[in-house]
Amino acid sequence: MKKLFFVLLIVAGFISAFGQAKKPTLMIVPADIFCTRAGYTLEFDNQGTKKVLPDYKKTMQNDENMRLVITKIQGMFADRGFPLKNLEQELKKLEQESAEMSMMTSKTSGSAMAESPIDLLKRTAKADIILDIDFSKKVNGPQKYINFNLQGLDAYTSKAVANASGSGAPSSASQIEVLLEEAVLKHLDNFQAQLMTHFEDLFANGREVVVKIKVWDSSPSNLETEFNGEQLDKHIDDWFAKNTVKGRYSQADASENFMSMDQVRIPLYDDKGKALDTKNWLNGLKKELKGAPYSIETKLYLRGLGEAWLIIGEK
Amino acid sequence: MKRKLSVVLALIFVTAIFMNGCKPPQKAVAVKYDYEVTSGGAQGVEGTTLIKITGKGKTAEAAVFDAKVNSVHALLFRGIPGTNMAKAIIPGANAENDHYFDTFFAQGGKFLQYLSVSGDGVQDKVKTSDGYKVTLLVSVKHAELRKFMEAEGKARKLTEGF
Repeated sequence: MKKLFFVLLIVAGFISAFGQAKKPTLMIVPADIFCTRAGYTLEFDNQGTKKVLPDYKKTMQNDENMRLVITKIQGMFADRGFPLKNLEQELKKLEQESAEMSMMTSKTSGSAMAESPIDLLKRTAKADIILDIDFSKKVNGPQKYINFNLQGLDAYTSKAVANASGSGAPSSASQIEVLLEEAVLKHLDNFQAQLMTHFEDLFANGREVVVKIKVWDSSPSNLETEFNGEQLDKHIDDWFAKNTVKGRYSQADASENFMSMDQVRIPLYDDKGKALDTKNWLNGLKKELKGAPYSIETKLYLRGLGEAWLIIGEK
Repeated sequence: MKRKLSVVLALIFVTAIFMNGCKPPQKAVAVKYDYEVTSGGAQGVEGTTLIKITGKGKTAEAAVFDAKVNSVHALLFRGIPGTNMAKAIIPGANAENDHYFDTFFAQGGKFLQYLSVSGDGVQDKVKTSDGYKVTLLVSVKHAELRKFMEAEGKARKLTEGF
């Protein structure tokens, strides 16, 4: 009897662990306009064209007001049980990782660690929801006030899921730090409420992701190849209609070599109650294409929590 | 024939008057939470919201108590535009009908822990035909209130489901 009780307890533990949907990561990032205005930028020559990019490291090392605002927002999110990723620490971690990877060799052959150009590209600071922040001090006669702008951007669908903006009350006595704190306090609760609405929508209608179907150049079949009298793109379309929440997705664009699906609503859990991400979900299509009558090998390429590519033809 | 018809009509008329007289007197449906609320100005302390709220009662004391109840009610179920709490802590049309809140908002109820009256007490007091209407400047500890409601299972946590 005791044994049975323990087994049930362990099973219950597993179910509750798997029953949690994958939590999106949030990170505050200074807005491009903030970095450009303050001169925290990087310039590089892209085949003759001068490109200006925000330099986050320089921003974090030089702008104490930005640090103050980020710390305040992080504190308020941590208080709601939702700790944020810290951009400064992520950048340091990446630098450290790069240094360690370049030094590391295997004991037996002295081989260096394998890293494709794609792996290198993927090693950047990222989050599922970017909190894009900008603020500026404005002066009106003897008084000063803060213009505050915070946007919550879904990194994969590029949709603004929450935002808070406005000007603070003008003051002639308060320090800029006090005005900034006031601005955060004024806007953050409403911002979190909007974020909550986004999460509620996610639970009701599924996670919104982007899926792209592509074809390798070497592939013998493309999306117009026919199986059982119908083109492959029609079979894929049917699979999406069957496997999305309430059949919600939209085909943004398509040709014989690619299909772009956006606003794809995938369920948060599979049939067994296990949390699903885009990769696990799209694995269903990968398996289906591998089976009869298609027998197509595919490569599943994941771009974070919310975007995946399925490349037809080979692995 | 004409006479018969007039008798029947008269009977119907008398019965209608009689039935109407038997009905209990119609009462206007009492509005439980009837208040006006606006922002009370820039908030000073983290986790609080400053609001200006009205309350009604037979006596001035009852009106002040009503205003205190209303201040927490406004943050829980209405949200106050123009403040840091524009959205309600517990959204949903029927959320306030939960019997749990009868005890929460009772005399000496737990709601009192989450507010403090700012300024010099009553800002405005008007004598009305029903009693008094007062206006208070109240600071509501919304962060603590939300945490309590989350712990009680009445409000949804930001991390719920993850």
